[in-house]
Amino acid sequence: MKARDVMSKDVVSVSTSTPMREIYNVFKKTRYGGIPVVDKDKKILGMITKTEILAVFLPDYFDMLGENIVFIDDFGTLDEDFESMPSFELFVAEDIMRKSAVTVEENASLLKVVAVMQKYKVRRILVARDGVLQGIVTRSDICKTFFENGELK
Amino acid sequence: MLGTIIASIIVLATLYLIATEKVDKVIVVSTGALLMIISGTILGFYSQKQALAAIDFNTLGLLFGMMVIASILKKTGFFTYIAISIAKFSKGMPWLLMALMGISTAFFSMLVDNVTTIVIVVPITILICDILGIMPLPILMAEILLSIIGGVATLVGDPPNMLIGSAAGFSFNDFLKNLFPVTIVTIFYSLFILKFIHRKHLSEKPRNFQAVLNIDARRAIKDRLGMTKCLIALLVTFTLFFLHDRMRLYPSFIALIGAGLAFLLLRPDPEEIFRDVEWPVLAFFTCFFVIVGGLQATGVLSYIATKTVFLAEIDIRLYKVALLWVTAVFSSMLGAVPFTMVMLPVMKTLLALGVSGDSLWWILALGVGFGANGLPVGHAASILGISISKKSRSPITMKVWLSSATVVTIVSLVVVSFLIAAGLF
Repeated sequence: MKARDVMSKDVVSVSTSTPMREIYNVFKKTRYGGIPVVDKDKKILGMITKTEILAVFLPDYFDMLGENIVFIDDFGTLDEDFESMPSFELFVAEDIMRKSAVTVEENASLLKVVAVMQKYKVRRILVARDGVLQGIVTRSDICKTFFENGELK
Repeated sequence: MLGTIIASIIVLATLYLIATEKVDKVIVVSTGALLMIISGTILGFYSQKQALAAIDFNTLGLLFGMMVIASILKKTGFFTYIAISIAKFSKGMPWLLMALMGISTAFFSMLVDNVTTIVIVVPITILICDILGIMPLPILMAEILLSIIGGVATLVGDPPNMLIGSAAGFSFNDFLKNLFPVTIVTIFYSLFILKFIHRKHLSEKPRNFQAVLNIDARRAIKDRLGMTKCLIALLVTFTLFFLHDRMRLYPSFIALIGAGLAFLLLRPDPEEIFRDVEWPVLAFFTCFFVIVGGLQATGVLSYIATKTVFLAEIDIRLYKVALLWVTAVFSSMLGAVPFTMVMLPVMKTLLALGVSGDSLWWILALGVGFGANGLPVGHAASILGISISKKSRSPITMKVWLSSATVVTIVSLVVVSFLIAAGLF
């Protein structure tokens, strides 16, 4: 069995200029956890999950602080700014997307899909043919294939 | 003659590539070292044996030992504890916060490497300022500048001093006696210069001081017993540093004793600690020692040194002032470490020729140390601090650097020039 046999073909994708609020609406409507960012020829450019959305709300230097924040409960002015969030509407897909989307070719084996998913600790994988988006495989797609189809062909 | 030309080209090309940062430093110096040995062997001016002898294992051991101690100390949360306690004590007043953070950064930098200090202190400072709702810029400038200035005070404060100490055979106490007083004075007036330059930002009232008061600084310490043990190891290390000339112990040996003691007391996972050791820095030093050794073997450095002696004979104080400014300018452009390494053989020649005494070494240390602040690329600590600041609301730009750090640098060099003129160095 190949990636193309288990993927869902009707993938919702956004372009680089899609505003963040619109991306949020897609998440809300479709209940998807991740949306690929593509150009007009459906070539994969990146991926946005809720992790990328959340990262927008954190100051960039937070990754330098390590464990130095876990004991702070009240971030004072930073909290106030965070809650008013004046600037997040300005972000578009290109600003926040993860540029290295995890992708497999459509004829990759199911084992490879699982291996790549575990290796990169992602919940979904894009399926491509020469870099052009063909579909998406999620963890549920794989589990469904295993448990509901009985044995693998 | 051909050997001299080739060796000079290798050194100049290496310095140029290090300064422009287009290729990783370690790749540049390892290629340079290899080319130096190959051309030296073919042309007969430099052998593998000489290359090995050019590597100063005393400096490498000192660097390594101090890195291990700093890495263990970093993990205890001690620095964060101090930073938050200072923030609470300062009641969020920007000027007091800047002065206290600056002074403690300078003090930490005297004990451990500047880069280690900056990588811990700068992010937590940005966070504290963001919680308070004040501009971090002046405080970050004070921390970066004073970490580099503070590093000048001791043998272990900064790699150029380790190099000088090892080459000249100076003890820890020699550094304290000759450089500590001038460094302390420089720290204080630098703070006032920064206060004047950034008076607008520093007059801001903190919007949210209560939030900082609410932080329990003690919770920053991950392991109280571990921190105590680490501080004991640090105390033993520095006690040995105070006594090492009397006990005839090499500084590198003491640093390694300290590192070993910290390992023994805390039993950390060595793999985790060694991951924090900056191997690229150690590789850089090793390779650059080999490169400078090659140039030294051609005799060109001694030749240049000899040619400047007539100036010293005209007026020794003027000569020293010139040495100070030349080292400062080159150190700010080329980086303090590579320039110091090139200067070591030059200084040895000057001393052998009887030009002045030990004071030349102190002038070199002050020139490279204070001079490194002249441009943002002069020191690894400033390069790092600036790159972290770019992740905050107040990035340190070239303009900001030139209008505050460069001003402090020039003032500090003028002051040292007067001290030289007064015969104090």
